[in-house]
Amino acid sequence: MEILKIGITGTVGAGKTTFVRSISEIDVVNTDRVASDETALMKATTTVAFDFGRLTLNSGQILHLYGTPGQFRFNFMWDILMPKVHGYVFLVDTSRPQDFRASRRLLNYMKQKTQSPLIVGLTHADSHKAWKSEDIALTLGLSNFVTKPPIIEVNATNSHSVAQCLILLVEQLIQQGINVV
Amino acid sequence: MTISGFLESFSFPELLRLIDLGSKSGRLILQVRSAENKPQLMGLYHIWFQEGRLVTVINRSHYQSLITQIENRGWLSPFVSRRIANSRLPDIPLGSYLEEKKLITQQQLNYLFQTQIAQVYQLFEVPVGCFLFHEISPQSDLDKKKRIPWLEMTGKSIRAAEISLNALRLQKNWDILAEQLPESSYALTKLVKQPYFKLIPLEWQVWELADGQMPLKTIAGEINQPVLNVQKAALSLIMAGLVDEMPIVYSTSATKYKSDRPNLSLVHVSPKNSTITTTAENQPSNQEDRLKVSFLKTVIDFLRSKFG
Repeated sequence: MEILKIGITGTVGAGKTTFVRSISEIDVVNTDRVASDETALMKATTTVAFDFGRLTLNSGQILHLYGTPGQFRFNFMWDILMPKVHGYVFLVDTSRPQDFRASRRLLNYMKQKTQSPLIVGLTHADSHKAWKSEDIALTLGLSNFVTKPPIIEVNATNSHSVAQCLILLVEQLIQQGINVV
Repeated sequence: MTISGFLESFSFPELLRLIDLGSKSGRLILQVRSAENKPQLMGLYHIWFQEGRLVTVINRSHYQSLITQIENRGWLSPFVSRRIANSRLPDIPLGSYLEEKKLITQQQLNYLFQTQIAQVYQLFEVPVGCFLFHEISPQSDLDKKKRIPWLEMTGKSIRAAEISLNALRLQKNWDILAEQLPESSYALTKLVKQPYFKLIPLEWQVWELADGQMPLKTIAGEINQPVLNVQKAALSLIMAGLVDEMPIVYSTSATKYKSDRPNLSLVHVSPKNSTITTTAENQPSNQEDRLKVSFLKTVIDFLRSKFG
């Protein structure tokens, strides 16, 4: 059985659960719980363990999607999940500058945790409050043109857009040759 | 798409770092709605940048033109200043023009510019406000470029990141920036080979020990300083674009996770062999975890055909 494991990460409310739900062929195995902290101001529930989604290519080849929790207090789940993924999508809500600092810290954490290829997915890019991708890159500390990962706008509610994002990541896996025989 | 938001969520030093890193040109409009103990700071500020350098500050709520400031200091006669104000000057900073005409000295211009940026240093004490950055890029239309306030410019400039460095050294109220202080368990990693700003001794000591490995609390012990002071110096270096904060990720073992982590078997994931193991490594390293390029190409084809 060949399994491609992809992590979907980012801060609270970036669109991780929606991303996985948009493309998974199964009902997402979901560990959302009622939000009890400041997250409750944004949404009713939050992921506390992970979201699991799946796409079956054929009887011997499968794509797994693991959506991580967004809050730092669940970082033990990042420690468990991220080292096992072949690549990951880092989602950022472009309309919420209040989350950019946390995104930068989270991205630094993930980059320490895994060397697997990543791409940055920008959500809510159609909002009038959205920041430009080059400005998001700067706030995330991605100013080095050589090491900067690809950045793509993604509509987490749209399966076509999510698929484009995943295709870009898989292309990165091939191009970088990391986790590839 | 513009850079806009609230200082409560994206701070003034973060804005300056963005402008500096992006070598941005344009006008930052800052509306200060509340300034607690400093009501005199409330109002509207226009801060202009050229290629990441601050070139002038205009306090729209207590406006006094640069030429008036020069006249009020007795450096120009009312007659000359009126003639200048009514003339069509070339598109260069007023200060540079007056200096070229030997009407004002370098020292006087330096003084005027320092007066302008002193206002900016005070803005680091402002907890509540909103901002909007109108960028002027080489692609911007001529109309936008025409709005550059040459008459308010001394011809002097300072890097946006250097403003943060200077202002944070003067900062008295750290409550506003408390959330931004790097955690004492974090390390610092250098973003440049050598600092391009003159550092004070504490900043220099912290810079020297920024190796991506040593936590700030250990640095504090090494240099015999309170941890909070080291965190403040670290924040100054971060905002100056010299270092970044990095969590220290320790390698973990399966045993550790088994003992103090939640039992993942509570989460039912199918198919059976997709269950996540609890060992932590930098990346999937087992040979069976590595993927064939042919498989990845099949994934791409599958995604294209199913969702294309």
